[in-house]
Amino acid sequence: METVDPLAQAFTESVPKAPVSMCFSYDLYRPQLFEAILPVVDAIEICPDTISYSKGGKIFLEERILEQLQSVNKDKKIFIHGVGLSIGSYDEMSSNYLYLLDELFEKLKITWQSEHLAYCQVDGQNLNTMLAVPRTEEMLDLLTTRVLDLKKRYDVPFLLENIANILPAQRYEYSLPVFLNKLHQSSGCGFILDIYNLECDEHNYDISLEDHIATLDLQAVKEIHIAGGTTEQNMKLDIHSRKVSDRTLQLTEQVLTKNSGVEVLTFELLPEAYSLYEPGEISEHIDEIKRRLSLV
Amino acid sequence: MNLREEQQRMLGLLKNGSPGQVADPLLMEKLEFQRTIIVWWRCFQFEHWLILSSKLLKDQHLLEPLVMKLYQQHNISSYPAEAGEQFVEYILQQPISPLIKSVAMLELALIKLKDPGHLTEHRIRWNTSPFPFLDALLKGREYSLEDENNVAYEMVVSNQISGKIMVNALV
Repeated sequence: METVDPLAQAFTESVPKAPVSMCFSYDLYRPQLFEAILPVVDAIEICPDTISYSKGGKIFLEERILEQLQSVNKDKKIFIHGVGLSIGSYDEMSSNYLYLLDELFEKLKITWQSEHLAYCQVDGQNLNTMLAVPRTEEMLDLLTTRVLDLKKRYDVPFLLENIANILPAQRYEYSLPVFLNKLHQSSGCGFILDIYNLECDEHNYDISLEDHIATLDLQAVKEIHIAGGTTEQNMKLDIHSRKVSDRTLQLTEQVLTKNSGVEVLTFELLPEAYSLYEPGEISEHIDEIKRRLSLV
Repeated sequence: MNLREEQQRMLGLLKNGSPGQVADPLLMEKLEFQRTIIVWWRCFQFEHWLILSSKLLKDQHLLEPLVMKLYQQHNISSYPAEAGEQFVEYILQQPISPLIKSVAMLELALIKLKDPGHLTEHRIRWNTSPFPFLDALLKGREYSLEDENNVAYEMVVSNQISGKIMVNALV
């Protein structure tokens, strides 16, 4: 069992941490919302799949959103957070998604990019959902190669996020945090720690959230995702449609007080949920999050 | 089972899994739930893209069953606009009221017309006078899917027409 030197621990915990930037997921052209969030965020996260559309078999980025992002790119960091790369597919990653990445990196200054640790297509068939990858040596090798390729291709850090599982785990050689740590060691990828997704897994499959956080190499965690969602048939779903709950904020606070590599905290709200709130209400909620977590 | 076999199995189970295929009852139950979420999510997106067609299908209790069948039989695009177009094409092949099909074609045509460069002329046949029907639908009033007797209309939808829409009674 690993022993911890209390003096070393006290030292690392007393080292002043770099300020954590506040970020919001902006994926639908809503000028009023964009204006409302700009004063309260340091960064903007975009989902290439969501800000693009298909026409005549070709994929295009939504020009109006691109223009908005370009207009603030000097003052605000921009992060890419995808859902369609399908990094865990046995055959190949999505070529459509890679095309979108090429376009975005050409048009914007991107600080880093991230994806979900999952696969969403098989043999070119869209699953219409994300499934967890088996945590095996075979998958570790496949992911390592792909992460290294992505880092080389775009020359920015690449992060992977834990998904919320609706299906029970099928087979694995490692627990999720151990698997992630191994992947970090082999590929140099960082992590997004999605606190709300962990809460979903805790609720649905009784995984120990505390064990996950205690085992995960928190120095590799560069970003935290928080959101609010719903429960259906006693399953907690990662539908980011609500404000962040008190418990999610408490858990986030616990992680932020540890010695971690966290630089960014992102409040995720699905574009389909934007209309549930007035733009001012969303910016007020972001402000409240910042106050609660002493980010201001 | 290697990685390819495992992922192909999951694809098959998600799309067409039946109770006999999986020994694990928990996995079977959650697969069913996962499918429900996928279909619910797709319905939600279609309701956003095809407001009137979705309302009509919902009123007829057809929206979810049709989206489920679409999911099982086709590779639904991850891009909402493209998926919406796939859904309209699917609706047109189904044995449902021709009026629902006319509304779906109209909505698809209007989406395409948002692109000023879209110069195709869309001709849609209606078995009832379209404007009173659409008016009732938009205002949440009672409507009928019955055909008007011996009456047909052709609606032309195009960026090249002033007002975008023109309706002619067919003799």
